Amino acid sequence: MQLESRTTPTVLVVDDDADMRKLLRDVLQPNGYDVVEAASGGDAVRLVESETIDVVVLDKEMPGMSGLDVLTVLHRRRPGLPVIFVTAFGGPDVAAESLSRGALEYVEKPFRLRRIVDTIRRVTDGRR
Amino acid sequence: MGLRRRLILVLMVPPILVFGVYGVLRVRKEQAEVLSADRDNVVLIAKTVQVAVERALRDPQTPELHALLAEIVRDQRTIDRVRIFDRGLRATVVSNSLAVGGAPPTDALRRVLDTGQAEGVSRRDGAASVFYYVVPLRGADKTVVGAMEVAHLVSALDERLRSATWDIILRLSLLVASITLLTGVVLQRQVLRPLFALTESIRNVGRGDPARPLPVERDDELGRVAEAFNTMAEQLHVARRDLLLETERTLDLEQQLRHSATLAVAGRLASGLAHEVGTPLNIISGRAEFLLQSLPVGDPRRDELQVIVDQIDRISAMIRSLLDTVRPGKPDIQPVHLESVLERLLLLLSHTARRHGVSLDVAVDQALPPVRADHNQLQQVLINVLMNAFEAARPSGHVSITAEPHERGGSRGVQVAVSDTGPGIPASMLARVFEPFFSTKPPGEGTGLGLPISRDILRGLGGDIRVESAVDAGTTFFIWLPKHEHE
Repeated sequence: MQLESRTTPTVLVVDDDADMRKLLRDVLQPNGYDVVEAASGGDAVRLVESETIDVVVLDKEMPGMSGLDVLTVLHRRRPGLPVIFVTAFGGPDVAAESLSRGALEYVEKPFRLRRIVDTIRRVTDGRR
Repeated sequence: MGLRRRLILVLMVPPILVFGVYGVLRVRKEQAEVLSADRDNVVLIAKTVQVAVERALRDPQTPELHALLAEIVRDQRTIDRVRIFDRGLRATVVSNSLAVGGAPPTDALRRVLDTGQAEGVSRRDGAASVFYYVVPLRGADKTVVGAMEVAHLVSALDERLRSATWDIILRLSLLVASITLLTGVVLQRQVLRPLFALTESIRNVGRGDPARPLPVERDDELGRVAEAFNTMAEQLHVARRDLLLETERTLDLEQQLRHSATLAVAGRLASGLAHEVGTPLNIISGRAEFLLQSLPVGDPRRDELQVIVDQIDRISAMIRSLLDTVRPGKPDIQPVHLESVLERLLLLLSHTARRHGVSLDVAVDQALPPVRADHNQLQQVLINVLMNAFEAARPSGHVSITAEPHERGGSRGVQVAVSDTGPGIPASMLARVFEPFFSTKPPGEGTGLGLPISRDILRGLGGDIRVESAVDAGTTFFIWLPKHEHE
């Protein structure tokens, strides 16, 4: 049973836009993921401490702590935690910056649903 | 007075004076000579006549004596009348009558009768001057029996003197005329014509036409003037061409700078907008996709949803392509010498400062270390800050620029301070000057992006910008950049 329960990975979705969070929840749950939401960088850092998180989908543009700051903190506290960094039209500079700060993957908004699901699956499968 | 008239005057006065004095002296001398020759002639004739008359007196035939004297007077041009007086001073024989000089020279006659010595005397009678020569007449016993007076009208001389005077005046006039003509011609050919050519060339150069070189065939002062003028015209031409080139280069560079500033603003606007619309676009297309997956194959609503997804893809592609165009390239980080960047910039901007009526002073430390920067980006930041300062300080203010080594948080670097004497920024606005789209300038003049872009650039280079200002106390921007470390 314990092994089975471990087969449902938990995705932490960090985005200040509620509709965006709900979209990812609606897409990921039918694909076999538990979804936890955080509306800010601070919430995200707390949730990573308190919950069992397998993968983080982290948006760059947020009020307060920016996605890049959160990335740095997460990488320091949970070096092995895979983070998929997401930003709207970020361009190659942001991609390079996020990867250098410890993100595992970089996906640019707007993305196709298939793309984000495939990326999350690749990350979680790789860890299994 | 023209050069020609002045020169002719100067050339003519001395000869006129000299010839005039010469003429007067010459006439006087001529007069004296003529007089003296006349008298000699009169004396000579008188002595001859004296001998003839003495002989005739001894042989007393008086009527014939009168005829003899009349004939002598007719023949001799220099003798106008002969009279014979007895010891009682009575005129016994008179050759002819004369309009003037009728009164006998009594004193001279008396002396001649007393002494027996001939004597000449001149006397004026009205307008005429009469020369009398008186000789004694002796009888057979050698005693003085009477006196003979020979009269000569000197006025006849005037004719000759007048013609001599006219001769001198004529020569003098000819001299003056030829000097005038010669001077005029020589002056025209040798001086005035080259001067006119020079004047014309100077006018041309003044109008900015390329000067035709003046001929330098003469080896004199004017030739040297022409040569010096040609050299000057050539130098002016070169200087003018250089200035035009320099101005064109400056304008080109200004245009480039303005262009890159415009691109930076457009880039920032585009990426700001892109970040804002990225998430909504993602939600729309995501929701459409989500619905699409839930509908069975063949449902006509699938096509509608597919249109939404495709159109969002199209919008995204457009935005990505726009961002590729305006996104600044990667900064080219190099060791940059601020003093040379500033020097070049101020060369360009000093003109702008003057146009704003703003005076500039620059104090750059000579021992600045090179900073770590992208040359173009740094230039863009400095232009932004300097142009703001010029605009704040106008119309008659002052902008000062200093650059010196400065340590910040233990890192070595360079600080550039740009101060203006403008109205200053109120404290309430000071905190917002680096906010995008915040501008203190009148609407339409500032984009409100100059300072935010500058700050982004400087932070990207590891530096920073801050501001100090107070109302009525001007504004100073401090730009700091880290020293370039050798790698």
